[in-house]
Amino acid sequence: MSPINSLWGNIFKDRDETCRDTCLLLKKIPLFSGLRRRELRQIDRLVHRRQYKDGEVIFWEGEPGVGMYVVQEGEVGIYRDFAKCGQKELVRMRAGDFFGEMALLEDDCRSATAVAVGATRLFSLIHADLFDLIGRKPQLGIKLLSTLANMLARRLRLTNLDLQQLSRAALGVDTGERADS
Amino acid sequence: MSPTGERQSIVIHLDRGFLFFLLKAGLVLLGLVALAWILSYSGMVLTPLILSIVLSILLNPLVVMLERRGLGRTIAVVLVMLALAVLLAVVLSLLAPVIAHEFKTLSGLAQNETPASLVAKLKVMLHQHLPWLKNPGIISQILGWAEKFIQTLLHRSIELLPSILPLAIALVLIPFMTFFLLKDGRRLKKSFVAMLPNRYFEMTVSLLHKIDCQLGNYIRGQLLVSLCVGTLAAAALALLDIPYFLLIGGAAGLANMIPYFGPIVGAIPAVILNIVAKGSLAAALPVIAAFLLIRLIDDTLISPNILGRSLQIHPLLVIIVIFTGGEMFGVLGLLLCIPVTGIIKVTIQQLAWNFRNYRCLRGGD
Repeated sequence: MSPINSLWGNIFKDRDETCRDTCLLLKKIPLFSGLRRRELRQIDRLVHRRQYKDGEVIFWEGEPGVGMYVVQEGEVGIYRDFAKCGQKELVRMRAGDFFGEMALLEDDCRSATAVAVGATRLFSLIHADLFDLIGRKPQLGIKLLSTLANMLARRLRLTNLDLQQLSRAALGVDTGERADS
Repeated sequence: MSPTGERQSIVIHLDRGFLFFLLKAGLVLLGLVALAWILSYSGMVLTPLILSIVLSILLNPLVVMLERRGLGRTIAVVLVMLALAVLLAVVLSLLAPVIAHEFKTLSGLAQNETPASLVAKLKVMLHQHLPWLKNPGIISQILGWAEKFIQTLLHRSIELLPSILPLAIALVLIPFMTFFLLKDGRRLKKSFVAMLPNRYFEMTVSLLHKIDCQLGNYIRGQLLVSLCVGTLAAAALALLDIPYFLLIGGAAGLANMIPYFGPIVGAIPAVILNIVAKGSLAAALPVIAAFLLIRLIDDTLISPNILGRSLQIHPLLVIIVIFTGGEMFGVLGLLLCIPVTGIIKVTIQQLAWNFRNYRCLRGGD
């Protein structure tokens, strides 16, 4: 290899490899799995990579939300009333899961607190960056929003099923109690 | 703990948080002042950097427009820069002969007419046209001020161009910096955010976005308003058959960026030049009327529609800032002090908002 090629290779080696690694990681995340390589590179330029220690708060309930997070490595616990004693974990997010997505769609405060469980690595997609991307690359933006909407619809359907089961169970308990009495 | 004790501890906690916040804000402010002080001694880099930032804010919507059509960021930036170069070349080739002619005649006038001779002419005219002004002391005093003003204006005008834009810097540094700010601006911002501790991450991202939006809109709006006012002034002066209409119109447009004083400063050269050229005090009236009309159009139509009510700064603060900016950084300070005050105002407003909404600033995390 000529010295010029070697120099050229050294300048661009790291960035290409990092980009390739991130694109592979992003591809594993359901939100980005439908994107092409070129589009993944766009997302790679957009997302912020953050590392959290065990027990570190990612965001607090009641604070203004600026975007969503995708778990790359580690776990994240979602809590209500985290600052109070006896708080209960609502859900545990694992690699590939995303949370805080409502902040991407509405300008409101966080409805729960997110806390890192163990050493955790996250990708963060910021609301302003997403809408900037929609302005610059409308097709990619629409693709992302559509995937996000599908995932939210699936979550809503599951929540509805849970609610139905809960209400059935409550009704069952109620009729059982009445029959007993 | 009793409820009163709990309340006291919250108050103490908030106070401590607020004190820490004030301490941090003070340190940041001190750092910024130190940075400004250091940079003020390196004007060779600072001036092109500020102009490049303004240019990149101005050109960014065009780059985004090209990106929307499927082009990559780098190619879009290259195309916009090339288009700007071509546009500048065309405009300069069309206007250069007129501007060169205006400069030539203006410099001829400056050689023939010294400020003292201009004032002497004005004195004679005043005595001829306003004989009821009996007190020569007052006239002499006013004319003494006018002489000083014209002298300052001439010196400043001569000093202005070489001090702002040495040709080599204009040709090399500004396009180079603008290119990289447009191409890598987002990456630079991301790298800065990556260095921040996790607890300040969301707050800083929100802060930067809001500053970016408000400031971008303000600078683009302000430049558009100046362009409109400059064009209107040049057109009005051309219609009134006033010499050097392009130069005066351009200067009026630029001066319009300085609130309150700008429009007056823009009108004064036109009034003086027209009085001297036509040899009558009445020649001032159509120029004053034209500038008043432009001011009216600007206040009622242009500024409200382009700038809206964003970034309103109190007149008292504007005056303090203009004098301080002019004293510290000269003409560039006069032009840039209001946008810089805008940045500081938005930052303080956002920090106050963040303080109310984010726990990390209240010392809660």
